[in-house]
Amino acid sequence: MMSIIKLENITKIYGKKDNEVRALSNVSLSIEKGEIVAVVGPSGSGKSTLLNIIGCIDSPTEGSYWLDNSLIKNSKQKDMARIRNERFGFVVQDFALVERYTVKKNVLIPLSYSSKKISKNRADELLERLGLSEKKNVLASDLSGGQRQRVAIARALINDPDIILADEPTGALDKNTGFEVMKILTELNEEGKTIIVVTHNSRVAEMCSRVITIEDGMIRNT
Amino acid sequence: MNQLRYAFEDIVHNKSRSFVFFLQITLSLMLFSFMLTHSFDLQKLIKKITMTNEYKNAYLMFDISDMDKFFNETIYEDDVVERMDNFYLWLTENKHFKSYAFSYEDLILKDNRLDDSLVSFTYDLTGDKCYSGLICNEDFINFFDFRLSKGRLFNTGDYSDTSNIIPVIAGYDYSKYFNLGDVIDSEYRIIGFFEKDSRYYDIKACGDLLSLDKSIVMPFQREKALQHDNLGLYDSIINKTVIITEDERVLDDIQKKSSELGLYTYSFRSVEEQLGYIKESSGEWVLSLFTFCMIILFFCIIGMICNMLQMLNNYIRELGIHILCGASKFSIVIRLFYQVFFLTLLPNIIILFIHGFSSNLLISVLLSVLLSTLVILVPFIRLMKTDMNTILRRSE
Repeated sequence: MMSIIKLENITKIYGKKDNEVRALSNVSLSIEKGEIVAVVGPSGSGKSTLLNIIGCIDSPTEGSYWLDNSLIKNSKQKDMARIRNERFGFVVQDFALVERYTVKKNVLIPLSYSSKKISKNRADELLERLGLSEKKNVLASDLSGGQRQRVAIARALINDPDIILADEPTGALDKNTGFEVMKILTELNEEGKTIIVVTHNSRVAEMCSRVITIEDGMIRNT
Repeated sequence: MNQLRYAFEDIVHNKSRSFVFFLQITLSLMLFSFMLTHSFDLQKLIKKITMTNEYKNAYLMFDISDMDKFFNETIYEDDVVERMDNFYLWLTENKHFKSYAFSYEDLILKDNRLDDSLVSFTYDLTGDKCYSGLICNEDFINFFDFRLSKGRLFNTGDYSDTSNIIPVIAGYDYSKYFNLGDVIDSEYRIIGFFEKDSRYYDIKACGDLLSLDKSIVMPFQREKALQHDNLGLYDSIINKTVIITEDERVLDDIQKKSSELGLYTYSFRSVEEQLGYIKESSGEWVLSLFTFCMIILFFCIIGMICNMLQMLNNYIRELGIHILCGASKFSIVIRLFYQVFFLTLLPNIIILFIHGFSSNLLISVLLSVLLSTLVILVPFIRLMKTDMNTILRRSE
């Protein structure tokens, strides 16, 4: 299998001099295309920082990051935004929905920034698939937690990205709803999407094919 | 286009904030417009002063005659008006110097088409409404190079007309109530209307630039004044005559002529001194106005910047979501800029109504672009300096 994501000696330092915080230290890992990987570790261990670097939200201080064998280094913000838009779908703990938008409008946000030719009907298809077709004109603020997370998943899929980055996707959900969300993610993985899930939850981690443990900014086992 | 759409949605969603911003920007642009209009006035004034300065030496005539003698003896002499006419003709037709003359006349008018806004003052006892009138000779009209919005200027016949109806040129404000050819109180026929904001200055009286918008200007009909023995008018118009000459010796000639005719004793004073005062006082006024406007403008701009920063803070979560979905910081800035730009352009419609398609509008539009850029600058720097992690963390 070929690596879709490859990190080599990634270090991320926040702050300067006396206020320096080392969030990641010499992290090296490789994720194959079609994998579903859980990143686990205690709070402040660097899980989210790692996900942000992979998702082109943040840049490493040192080290190299290859995405599909292309080196992502010192890229311009515009290029990072394009990669974020076209290659990744994000699912986060607090759903990151615009409350005043309808469900469908939330799902369509990534298309506003995309150069891909994707029909807006795809939003309807995704919402139907996720059981939200009747809610498409409802404001996001009027949805339950589970529904919101499914909207977030639909939005993550609208641009048909290769990789889904999920940061504590079940963190704000009850056990059953969280399980439902993970089930959707595993289904997507079965369809070929590469999924990286940051989680505290051992049950969620168990649903992934590989678990990466991170502590104090360093990978303990992969 | 998407950013434009988002910007409009933001404006609509934040009606109150947008309205406050709109008020701030409207106030700023109105102030700028006001400042510009007055600076144009100042430019006009300076131009006219410069024009006067080209005459190098213009002189005002100050009557220093023995007033007792004048009022107790001279005015009772039979031929005093003829002598005054003689003197006036000598002054205005003299080939050795130029001059212009004018006089004020309060007109009591009763025409029911007249509006109270044109009234200069009302007599307490009689309740008569008085309107501002000005009698002038042809040189006065030529000197100030007046332009009309409608009709014609006085011709030679108007100055020599002895009929009962006097041809007049009305100030711009009269054009709202009268048409060309209208006769006011069976006495004044309107032959023209001055352009808006037509001005002259009475160097001797006050040194200020005076507007003709609410005035009625009449020709000095010498022959009629002579027929009616109008001593008061002759006295007034002669003593408000401004002499323009490069040869100071003519001042002696004027005095000599006046003495020869048994009229006034004069002291001549250069207008340069008076013009210096005008320049100084106008400059001070405009400076005060500019300072005042700049202070208000400064606070308006600060207010607008704070408004934008507050908007940025309130919306950071939503903007973070857009960034997560693939927006760059730059596209977010563009979205903010569209909002500011639209709200800044909107007040120009008001300017358009006030000034029409004029240089003021063009300047105002350019100013809008400048203000938008200025207002967006601080939020732009703030957003660009905030790292993505912070934006996203705040969005959680």
